[in-house]
Amino acid sequence: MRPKIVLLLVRSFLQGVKPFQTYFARMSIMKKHGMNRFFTILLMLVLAFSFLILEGMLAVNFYIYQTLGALMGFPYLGVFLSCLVGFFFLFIFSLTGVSSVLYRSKDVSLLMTLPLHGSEIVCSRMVVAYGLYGGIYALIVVPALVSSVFVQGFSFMYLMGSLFLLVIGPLLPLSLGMFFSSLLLRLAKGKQLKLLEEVFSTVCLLGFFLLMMASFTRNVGENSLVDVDYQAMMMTLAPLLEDLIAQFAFFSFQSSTLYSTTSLVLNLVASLLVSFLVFMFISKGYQHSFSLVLSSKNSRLHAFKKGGVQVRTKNQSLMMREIECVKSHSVFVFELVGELLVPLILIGVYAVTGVLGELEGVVELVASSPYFMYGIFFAMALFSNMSMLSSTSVSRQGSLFVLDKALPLSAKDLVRAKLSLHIVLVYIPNIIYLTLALLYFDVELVNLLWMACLSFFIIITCAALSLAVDYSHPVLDWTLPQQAMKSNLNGLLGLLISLVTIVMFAVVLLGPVLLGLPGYIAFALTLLLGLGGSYWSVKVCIAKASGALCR
Amino acid sequence: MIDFEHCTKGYSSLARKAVNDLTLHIEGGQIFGFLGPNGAGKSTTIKMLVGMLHSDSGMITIDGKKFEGDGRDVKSLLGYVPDEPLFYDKMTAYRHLNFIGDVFGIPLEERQLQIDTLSERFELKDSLSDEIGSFSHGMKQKLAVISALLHSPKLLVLDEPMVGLDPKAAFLLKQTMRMYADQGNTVFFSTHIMEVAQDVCDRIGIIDKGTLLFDGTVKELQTQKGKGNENLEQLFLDLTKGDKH
Repeated sequence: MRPKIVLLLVRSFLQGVKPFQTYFARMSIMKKHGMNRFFTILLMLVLAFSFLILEGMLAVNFYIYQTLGALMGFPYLGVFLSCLVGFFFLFIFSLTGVSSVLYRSKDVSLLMTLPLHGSEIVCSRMVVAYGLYGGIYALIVVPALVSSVFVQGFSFMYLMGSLFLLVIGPLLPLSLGMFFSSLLLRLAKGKQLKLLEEVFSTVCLLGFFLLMMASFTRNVGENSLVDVDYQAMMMTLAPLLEDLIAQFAFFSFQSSTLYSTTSLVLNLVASLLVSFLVFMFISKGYQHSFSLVLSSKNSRLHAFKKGGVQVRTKNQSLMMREIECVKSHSVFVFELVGELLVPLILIGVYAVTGVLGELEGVVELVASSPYFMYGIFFAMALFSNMSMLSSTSVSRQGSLFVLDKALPLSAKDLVRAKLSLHIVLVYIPNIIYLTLALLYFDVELVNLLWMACLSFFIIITCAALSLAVDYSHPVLDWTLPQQAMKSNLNGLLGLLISLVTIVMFAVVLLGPVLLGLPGYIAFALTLLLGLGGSYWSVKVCIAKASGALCR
Repeated sequence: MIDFEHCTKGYSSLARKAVNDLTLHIEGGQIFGFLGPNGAGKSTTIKMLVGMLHSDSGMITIDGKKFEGDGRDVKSLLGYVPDEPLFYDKMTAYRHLNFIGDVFGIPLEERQLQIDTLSERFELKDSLSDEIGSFSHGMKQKLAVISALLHSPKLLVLDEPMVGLDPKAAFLLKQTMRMYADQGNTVFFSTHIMEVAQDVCDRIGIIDKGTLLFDGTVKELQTQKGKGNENLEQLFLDLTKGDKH
């Protein structure tokens, strides 16, 4: 293996793919056009604020555990938990993405025709994966490291240990993610085991995230963020945490790098050793694995050939095309499944953690409130609309977007098909979730009538506006599918717009009720907003789509 | 120069083999045209030849060397122009050619000379500083040819190279292929365009449904079919049982 070539491959990937620049591409477009400068700054501030809130929540959570650890005689409990969470989060996250970095990325085909050692390609792809995913680990561990200073104090050793942990920590989960991803690929002879890789990962990742949030809300008191009943926590959580520490001794050892040089060195050796072994495993037979991936792509093409002739309407055909587009990359399926299953995962997590039982008590208290059913309605609206399903659906077409320009299709046709699919994917589950929620909370089912009606308009409005955002500046020249979804600012903009839309609907629906007006007036006003909003947003979306097709 | 020995490749156990028991020997210094209808197995054969796909059985040797491990030794002998150009879109053409030069370890002076000569020949010199993503298909195809020739390979493999090229560039490519073969190198290319095959190839191979139907010169094909006056297009249609329209 030639280190110079490995560096060349990494540099070429960065120069040729520019993976981090897609995030900022939209901002630079806005600046170039000299428009919406205020909006750009506002957006950046909102994003920065949201990021700080998330990190702050994690920091408080870890601070509580760090303090609890001090009481339990385990001084780095918060850091231990952050290492554990960071590990699993990155491991599960990398399971879905690394196979595209290692084998399926468009540029790998180019590299495979060049006289390169398999080990050189693998090493460079591991470095690229570290660069792409390593930050996720830091997002989780940094809050724990910062909050730990307030409990344990600061020292030079602590600083060095922290930096070391941030650099070396991602190696193990990433390496294991790569190992299992490669192993699965070999066992499946190059086929993507979507059900196993994507659905499993999505469920795990979201479950994990919600578990963290549930844990956070359980600990925080009503009056202050640090108003915590440590005595109660000791009683309920100490045995569980002691079990965790015993079962995941490695992370306890990892957290001890903050104060022990020996641990630091041993941790370094262990991480590098595992990474090296995984590197050897992937390198051996890399050529064969790539050949399997290429073969499986072709066998999928053969499978499509067997399909019979079917006549569909233009709209149905375009909807089917949209589904094929989603199925073309695991990242897209991952996003879709995850976003649609959030309520179920949330219920599962709450049931496991016992929060559901506590919620029942709270629900009994608030169920008698006249606003309770509105709460259910808007909670479900948030679940259904805080998604990237629509807001990146043009970007995910990538270079194939040019087909839309070539085919005799109007902007209206394309928008109608995208929104129709969105309705099928989002509205139907939304109605199911609403029905189940009404039944569970013993709210009269007749309320489903107005809820179904308003929900339809909210979903249409949010989806059309999000789609308009993506049509105005689609990210089409991506190499990794992640660039079209997770690294696409249009998705975040879409989320923000959906949030604002739902708040507007909430104000119009609840405002009159709070003012003492009858419910049917509130409903009529909201219906009016829904009709007007959805009509206007679809118009905007078609206009933006027309613009994109003419460019 | 190239030896396929009983090579077979299938994409799934149910579908017919994409390439079935292919045995083919190609001497050095020749232009070999690989013809066949769509889905005949041309691209699969080429992908096996350049080491992107592994055959299920059989063996391929190039210049006496087998594909072993990552096949680095064999790959350093060949230049490959794929059917769909493979590039980093955000790179400039210069940067891409430098990348290829670095991978093949081409010294600076030789690299500069090759880039100048080839980019001038294919009229791409003025666009070398542009991002590849902004190139037309034809320009990408030209860049792919320049990249493949940059390290002066012993074997040039081209998959449908004429697609997207303007008449002048197509003529230049044919001329380059001829010059290249005359220097003792080998050119293996697939095409649908019978006139190109008839004009340029020293030998042709015709494949259909994964099976090699003919291997020899156009003259030999005419003799074999007893139709000395028929052109390659008619012979091809006859051999692959296509319609004559």
